Amino acid sequence: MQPADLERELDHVHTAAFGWALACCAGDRAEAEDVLQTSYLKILDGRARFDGRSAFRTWLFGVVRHTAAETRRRHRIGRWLPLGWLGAAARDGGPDPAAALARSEESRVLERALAALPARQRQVLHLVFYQDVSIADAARVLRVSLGTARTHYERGKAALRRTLEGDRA
Amino acid sequence: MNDAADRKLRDRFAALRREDAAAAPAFAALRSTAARQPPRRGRLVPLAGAIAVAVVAIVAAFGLLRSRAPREPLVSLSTTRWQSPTDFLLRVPGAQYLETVPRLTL
Repeated sequence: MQPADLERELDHVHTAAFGWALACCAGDRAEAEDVLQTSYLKILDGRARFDGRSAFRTWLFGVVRHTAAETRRRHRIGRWLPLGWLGAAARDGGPDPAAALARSEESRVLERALAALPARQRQVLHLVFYQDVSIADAARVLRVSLGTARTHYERGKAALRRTLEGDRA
Repeated sequence: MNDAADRKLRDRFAALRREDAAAAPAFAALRSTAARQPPRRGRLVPLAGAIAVAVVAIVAAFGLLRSRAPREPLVSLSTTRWQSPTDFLLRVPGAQYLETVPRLTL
């Protein structure tokens, strides 16, 4: 794919990618922007190459997930070693308070319920319900088998429903 | 979960998506900041090199110190007296008579 085509594709899926980066960074907006920026850099300088084996969006989500995991690892190291000059400074993480205030009450309740789920369940539910991705594509993004993705989906959905009903009661 | 519950969940996620989309940074802004960033790999190479040099230096210093230190034998033979656990079997009654030459007065 030519650089100009890549940029056009990235621009096209940018909003969805930002939503996915937020989900991978547990709602931390600053970290999500960092992760998305690093992902774009990897793609545009050729460190991550799209080989056309899946849809562009599915592939991009995989890159973002991988980059978010790398960033988390770096922050964990940053807590133990003074590597601020490497950009590995520890962050407190968590949702940005200003962004949380701008949310509607319904969305805040949903975010809280999602935050209580294990990461894999949260990510599968995000991909299926937020991004309208099929469970098979969600499995590809998360690099798990279809059966595992289905299990995370069913368990996550049941747990999310229980939490939301508990909040309502 | 039934379809109605799924639809409700989908609607809630759609509302979340609309709010995120409204607050998302512009693609061009992220793109231009990304273009200005130095490659991260380039910053990790000096660190990996420094760690490797430090490890080699520590190992070499440790080896040098060990080779220069005078080697003490683990057991000093001059101060050790070994005794067999079966020595008592050699002690027979009347052994003191066998250690001296008997003096005969004829």
